[in-house]
Amino acid sequence: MAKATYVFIISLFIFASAGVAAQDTIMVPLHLRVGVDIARPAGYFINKDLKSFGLQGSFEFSERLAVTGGTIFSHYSVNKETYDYKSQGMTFTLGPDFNLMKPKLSEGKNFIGFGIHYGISFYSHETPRMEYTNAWGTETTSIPSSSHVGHFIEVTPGVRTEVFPGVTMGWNLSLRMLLSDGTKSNLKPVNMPGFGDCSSRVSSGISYFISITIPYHTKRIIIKPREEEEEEEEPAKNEETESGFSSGNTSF
Amino acid sequence: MKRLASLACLPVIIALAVTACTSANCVEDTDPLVATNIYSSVKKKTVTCDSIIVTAKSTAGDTIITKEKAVSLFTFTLDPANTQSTLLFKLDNVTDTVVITYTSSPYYISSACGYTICHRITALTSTDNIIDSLVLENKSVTLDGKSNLRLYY
Repeated sequence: MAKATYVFIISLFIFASAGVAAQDTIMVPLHLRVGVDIARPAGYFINKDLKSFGLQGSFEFSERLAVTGGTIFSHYSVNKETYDYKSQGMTFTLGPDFNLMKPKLSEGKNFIGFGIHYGISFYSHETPRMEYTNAWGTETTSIPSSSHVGHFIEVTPGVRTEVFPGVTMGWNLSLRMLLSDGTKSNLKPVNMPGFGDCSSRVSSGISYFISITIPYHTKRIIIKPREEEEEEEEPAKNEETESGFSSGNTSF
Repeated sequence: MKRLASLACLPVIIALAVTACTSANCVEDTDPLVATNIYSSVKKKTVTCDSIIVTAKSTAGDTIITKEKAVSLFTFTLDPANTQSTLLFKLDNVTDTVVITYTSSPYYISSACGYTICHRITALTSTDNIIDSLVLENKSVTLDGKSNLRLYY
């Protein structure tokens, strides 16, 4: 009896250790990241009306979740046939970024995912000249400078990868929805810093970040091997077949 | 390098696609119009007149701003440089003078169209050669296309 108990306890240890050996352990570094948006200064060569500069920083809480904050300085000045317009201000964004890659693939270096950020824009704008013409004639007037606080939400799908140790590059789209331009009048901003043209409630943009990453912690992640999952699934499939679920009516 | 190339190319393609989708031309209405429905003062229902000509009276001279035949609804603009517009309504060849007093405020339409000037009607008078009465239905003269006046004759 004592011998049988001894064999049973030993076999439990063997099964338990076999289970641990089947698991895969990887070490994922978590980072602090600080980056500069090179798309903004590059965009000046395409659109001379807008001068802007953006910085972004993020703190990775886990291999899947980071909190990202950004700041953008914008100066917009346009001279059109019927109006001149100027705006300038600072925009701040903050929100979570979700990495959709598996830790084994991302290795703490790659990112394919999206962020959901809240944005707040402190800005001033003015219209030094506006002309309106109808059958009666032309009215030329101006709208003096005024300061406002605007709010928006943005979704930022994108990719990022480590190109050199400690340096990452990547781009993301910014799909923004205006919550408020803060003007409380008919005079919507032609360009709200960080958002764009407020004649529409949605706007889009693109950012291209070069970032410096500093690892601050290494997280140990245990990954369940695929073989075990498949073995667990197979008996379940058999049960379904045996109990008559394959009658053909469940194919929708 | 492959990784770098793929990272660089995709946003450029997306940026070009977004730029291509943005219209640089103004395709929206830019004139806030005073929309007027014509009613029969007897039947109290909308009726179709034979003709309506609206003339703007200004210091620079008179200008025809609306000329319609067989309509029950017509529209006209107001003087953006003043707070009062004097108009001549020639309805079925009989002329009345209509004076509309209002406030004006600029309104931003879009980057391509720029600004327009919207109005809020504060007072309304008319002579009664053919017009029985002119009723203010909606004070705001904007780009929303809503009816503003009811002309009974």
